[in-house]
Amino acid sequence: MKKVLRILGLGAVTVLGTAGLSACGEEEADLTIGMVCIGDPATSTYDGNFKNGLEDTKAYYKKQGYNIKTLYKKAVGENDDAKAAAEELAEECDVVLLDSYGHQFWAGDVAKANPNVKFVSCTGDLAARDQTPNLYNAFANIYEGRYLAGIAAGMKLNAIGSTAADHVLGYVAAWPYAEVISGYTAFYLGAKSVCPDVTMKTVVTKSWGDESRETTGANKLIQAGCKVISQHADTYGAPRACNTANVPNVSYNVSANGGNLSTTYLCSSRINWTPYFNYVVDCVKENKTIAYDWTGGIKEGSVVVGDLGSCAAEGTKAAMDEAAAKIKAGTLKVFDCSKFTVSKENNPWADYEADAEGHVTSYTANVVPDTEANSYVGETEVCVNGVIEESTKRSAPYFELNIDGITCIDAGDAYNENN
Amino acid sequence: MSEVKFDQKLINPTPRKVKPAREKFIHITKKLDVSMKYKVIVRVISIVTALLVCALILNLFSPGHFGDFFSGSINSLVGSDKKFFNSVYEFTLLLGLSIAVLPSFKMKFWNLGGEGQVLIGGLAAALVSRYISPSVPNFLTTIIMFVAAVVAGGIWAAIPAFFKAKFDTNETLFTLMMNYIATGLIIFFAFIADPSHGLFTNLKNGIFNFSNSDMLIIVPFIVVVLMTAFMFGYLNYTKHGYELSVVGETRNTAKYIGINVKGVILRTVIISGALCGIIGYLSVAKQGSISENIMSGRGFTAVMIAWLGHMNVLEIVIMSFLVAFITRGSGQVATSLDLGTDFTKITIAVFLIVILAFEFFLNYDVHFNKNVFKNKKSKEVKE
Repeated sequence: MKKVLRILGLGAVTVLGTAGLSACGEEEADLTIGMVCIGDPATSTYDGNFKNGLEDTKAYYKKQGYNIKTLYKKAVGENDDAKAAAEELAEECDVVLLDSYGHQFWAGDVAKANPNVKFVSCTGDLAARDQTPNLYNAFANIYEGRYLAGIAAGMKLNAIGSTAADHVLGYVAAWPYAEVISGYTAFYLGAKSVCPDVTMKTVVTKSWGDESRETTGANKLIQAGCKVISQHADTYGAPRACNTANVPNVSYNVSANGGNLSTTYLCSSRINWTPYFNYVVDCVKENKTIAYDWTGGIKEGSVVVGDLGSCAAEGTKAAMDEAAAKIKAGTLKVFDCSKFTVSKENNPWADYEADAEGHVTSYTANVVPDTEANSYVGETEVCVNGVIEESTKRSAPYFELNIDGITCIDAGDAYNENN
Repeated sequence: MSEVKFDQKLINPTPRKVKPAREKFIHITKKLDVSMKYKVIVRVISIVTALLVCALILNLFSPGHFGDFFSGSINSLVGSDKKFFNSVYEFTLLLGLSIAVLPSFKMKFWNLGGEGQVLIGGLAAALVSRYISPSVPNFLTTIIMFVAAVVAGGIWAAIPAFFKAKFDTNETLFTLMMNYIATGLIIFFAFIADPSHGLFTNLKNGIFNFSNSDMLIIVPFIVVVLMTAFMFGYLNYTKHGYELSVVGETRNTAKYIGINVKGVILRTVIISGALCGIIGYLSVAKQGSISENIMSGRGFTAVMIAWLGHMNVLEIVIMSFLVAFITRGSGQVATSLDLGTDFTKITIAVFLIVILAFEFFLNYDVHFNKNVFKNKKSKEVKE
């Protein structure tokens, strides 16, 4: 027995020795960037989108002879595991990125303890309020992408029929937050720009990724007479349900033909994080201050609209390109108040003023998150010259009005479980 | 009355031909007594083997990095102060949870509700912290939070225990389902605390507030060490500890030697739940928030640790350390080599399975009968 132990002990020592050796010989990195991911980029489309963005940034700088090393902490929940992950990344990295909204509550303390490391809470909204010098927020004007995707949906509705009963959109929404509301309102307004009598029905799943609820929701919309469906949720539930029922679908964060849905895939939009990551790297390289809030849109390349599917209506491409050019030039505003109306009964809590027809003239949004978690009081005027300026006062969306023409047919009251 | 006809074959079946027992080369017998020394040796070998197998798996995922498994794992443990303290915290949580579920397991009450009892304890503490008047002195808030967590955890465990004692319901399913209810309750209260996002964060009253952030880990560690010491004494040197092990062995024996079986079940499981409540309190006081994934499933890992530790406090301490080591280590390796969560999950599972497989050598003796070959040879020679 003693002999066995001795052999095992020797083996262990040899192994440890070689381990020390194998650590050498790596290329020296000019900059190290760490990312805390809420899921595994290999399986979650959301995290995968972040990782691809960072890897593209890495490749971009590699060409210029600037080596970036990337480290990923995967499947880190929005609890103090996120703090531990960020702390440990901070020891090795110059920049630490956190990819989920809820991670930000654990980033603050770590940022204060590591003043030389830059922290970015992507999609977060506390940086500007807390003014920690090395903690920032970033988002993208994805509503621009959804507006363009909405045009594709509107064109398709026009091709399907000419009556108002044909012009019905459906939308599977994860949560009734500003992020989602802003997105589907933009989608609806995009469709309305080419199909004036369009209406939209929504269902809420109360989960970011529950395939069966998304499937059920999409089917409910199809039964309610929706002719084109889109979604803001992270699984293939809705696109697949649409494929089964042969209903055109507008995707999000999904590659053009991801999930083999070629016959019903209409169009998709997604956030491209590379422009922002490039901006961060440039700031660090040149020792410039990073903005507390950063957003990019179509113009910056932060929002990407995917290729059109085979079921798209004729002329869609031209209409989308035209609108994209106008958005880039700044002549087309997505939340142009003359293009939609609101009513008090649909917005009992919102702090806004409207003219007799229901066009918004003033809207005070909740831009600065309150320290008391349970009070969401609007404090910042975001309606300027008849346009609600989304994501200019803060990177994370804050448009929360329920506009006319959009009806929620299922608020997800049956679901009380959060995944 | 009609005559009952018997099938003769059933009464007198034709006797089966019994082959004369052939001598086997490998012969396995149940081990009757195991010396401490033997146990230690088997355990050490099993751990070393498990680590080597994990390193081999890493080599499959990213060839040529066999050794990185060891350097990475050790790095995750002592690579830096932060890494060391985070490892200590992982160990603290796993040990605390295993110690908490231990008494009910020792009584063979299959309490899979550790996770839920922690959550409900944490929820109680969080609710106190959120809704108590800020004018209450901080130390008093801390005490109320602690008591609320202990009571809530105890009650959460007492419900399935009561039904087990009274109606002999299946505690495995019952405790498991209580977890889902606890999860649901947390989400419910989170949406009351924050209707927009459902995040129960930003707690202030009675939350740990140390000038040195390392104390956030040292304090829970000390509490868990005290819990462990208490449990060691409770199980080994008190009447309660004896009673619960008798109830675990055979209920009838317990009944006839005058033990109040129902009382013991209730008492033991409530202690389990109360200790889980303490862990819930510690987590909430450390983080200043609560969510349904505050434990990230460690409540279930703890069940495994209690099992692998043979319901023995000292072995559980060692197992908790090893599981914390392998969890943190594989995570570190996955980060430095950019591997997916599948790698971490596989390594942890394989590590545990290898250790479990070596239990065989603790329970059975293997004899090699060399005579088998000799006999065969002698037969062949005769023919």
